[in-house]
Amino acid sequence: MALKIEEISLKRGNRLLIKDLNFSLKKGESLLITGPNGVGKTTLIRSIAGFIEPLTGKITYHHQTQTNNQSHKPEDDDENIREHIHYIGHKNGIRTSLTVLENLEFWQSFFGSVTDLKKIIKTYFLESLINIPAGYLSAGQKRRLGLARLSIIERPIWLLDEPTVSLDEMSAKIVANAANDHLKKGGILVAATHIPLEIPFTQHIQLSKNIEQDWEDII
Amino acid sequence: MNTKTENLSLWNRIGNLFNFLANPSQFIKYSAYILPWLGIISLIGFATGLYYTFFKTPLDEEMGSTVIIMFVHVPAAWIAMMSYAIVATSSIGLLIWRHPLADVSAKAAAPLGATITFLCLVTGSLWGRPDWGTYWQWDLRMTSVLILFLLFIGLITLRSSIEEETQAGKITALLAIVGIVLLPIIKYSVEWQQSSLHQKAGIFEGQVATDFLIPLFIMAISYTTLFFYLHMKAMRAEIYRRRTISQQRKHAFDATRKEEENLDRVS
Amino acid sequence: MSAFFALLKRDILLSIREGGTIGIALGFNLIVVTILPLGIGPDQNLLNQIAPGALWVTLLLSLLLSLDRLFLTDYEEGTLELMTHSEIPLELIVVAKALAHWLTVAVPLAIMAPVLGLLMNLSPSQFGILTLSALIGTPALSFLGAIGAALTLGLKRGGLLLPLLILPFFIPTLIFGVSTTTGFLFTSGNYESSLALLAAISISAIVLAPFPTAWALRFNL
Repeated sequence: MALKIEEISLKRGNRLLIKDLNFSLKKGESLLITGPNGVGKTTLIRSIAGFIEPLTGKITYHHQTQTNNQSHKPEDDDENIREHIHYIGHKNGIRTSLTVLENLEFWQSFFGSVTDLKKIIKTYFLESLINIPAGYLSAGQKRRLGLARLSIIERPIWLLDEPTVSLDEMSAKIVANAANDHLKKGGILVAATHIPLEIPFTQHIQLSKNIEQDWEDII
Repeated sequence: MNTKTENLSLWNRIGNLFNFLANPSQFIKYSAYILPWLGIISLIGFATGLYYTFFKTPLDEEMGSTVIIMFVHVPAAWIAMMSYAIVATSSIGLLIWRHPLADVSAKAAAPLGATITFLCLVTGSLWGRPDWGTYWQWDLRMTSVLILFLLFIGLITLRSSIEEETQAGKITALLAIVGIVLLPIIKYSVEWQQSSLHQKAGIFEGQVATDFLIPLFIMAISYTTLFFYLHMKAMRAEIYRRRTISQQRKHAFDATRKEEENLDRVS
Repeated sequence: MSAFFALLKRDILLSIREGGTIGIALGFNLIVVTILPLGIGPDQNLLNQIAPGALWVTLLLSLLLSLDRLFLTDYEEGTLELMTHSEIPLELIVVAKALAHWLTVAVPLAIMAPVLGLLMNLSPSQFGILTLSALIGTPALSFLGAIGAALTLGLKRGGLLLPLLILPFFIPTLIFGVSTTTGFLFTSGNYESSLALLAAISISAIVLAPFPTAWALRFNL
């Protein structure tokens, strides 16, 4: 199992943010992306999530580990990466007119999962809120509800973009615990944050602002 | 084996030629040679075509002098359809081969198409007044030209309301492709609804006298060359516009970087 | 497929709970049919004659009002992008959302059509065929409208732009819908062919429209 990013270049609007970036993450490995605002952290994570197409380069994910299988063709490796991703972005992906429980139930049936919601509700400190429309929650509570999606179904790749934004210290610990559990089980984690997380990252990429722009490329 | 490599090289050569022609810098270069010729052909064409129209065309028995509107109206209808075809093929080119010049072509062709479609509607309406006794008739052809005009307006407004240029190009291209699939269906449904009042398309069926055919074709050629002249001119203007914007961005980017360096030095 | 039904169920629940969309559509339909005779004058024969066309045009416009919200809330709340991380393709997600729109907006409008027909002096023998043709014709409107909703997603003037882009594509449904309703009365028995064409357009729209819609959504994520 490996997530491979090869020679990708990314643009946001007309600006080249990332040029020829390479990294590869295996089972249980994690990557921390840091850098000042506007440097392309979100763009990089969104491109792995499949929302932005890279200008150049490839993002591949191989699920199978054994390659000595006779019938194993190279095409089999190129799996649809999207089904293996959990993405936590700036928006929480919760419907404000549905209650906390209804939101969780929707994602549960949408992902076709059979996990015990009660346990998840407990883990993310949502017990007292289950019948309240999500629109009435505070920013931190909304964030926790959004993050609870991570535990609804097991997926090998976690992409977290500023996961602890608007969270208190206690809730940030919940996220760190969930992430560490995920890594122990052999998951892959990519996180962008400037708030320190209690996760032992195995790799670190510092994005820099000074990317040479290719102005002639634009007509 | 030998033929295979030859085929491949021929295929490559065609690919290279396409890439060469579609390269914006090359386009600017060779279009500069083609443009004056298109202009001259169009000018001569219109001069002779209009001379024929006004002085050499025998007046029609039924329609009288209004028949000369045909020479302005019919080619406009042809070019209106052709310009939508150009927008649609450019859109397909953009979405499949992602070539920026295809976007430039689609963007340049849409307002031209809208203008010529409008011209077609106005001349058709003027022609209709003496013949039908009304400026507007909800018949098949006028209705479908009106819908074509609305589609052009839709393309132009959609593009202008999306700020980001590449995004605007892709979204508009999608609408153009949906449009070309739906246009025949809309036309069929209008046809189904009403039996046409208009003459059936009769240019190639001997209904129109040869006296009319010569000036009509001269006018058609003049319209076509005029369209391509304006299209090429608009494409060049669009390329220059994008280059200017790119230079302005570069300037802003460099200035910001310099400011940051100065700030670093101070602190 | 659990994702498909989960989404369908959620969208139906939401439209009942949020309620605004269908309320606006029905109210708009009613107000147009109210002011139309007041503008034209209370000539019963004239009203009866133009009723099928007028009812279909107001149906089109009412449906259009609700279309710009089709993907907007999910887009703004970040749900739409998460839905792409599913086993089912985005095209099927579009089908689920357009189907929910049809069930919650078009079907109530079709059921209400005879009531409005009453105001337009439509003969009662046409009530059944009016509702039937509206039920068969409107899937095309929901699915073609989805293309426009996806194209204008997130635009500042999206709601104003949508009618301009999409109404031309509604013309075939309008023509066959009206001719089904009038054909039933004036040339008895001659309405089947227009009803069949109406169904054909709806089926083609259901099958084909999700592809450009999903394409546009991917561009707009």
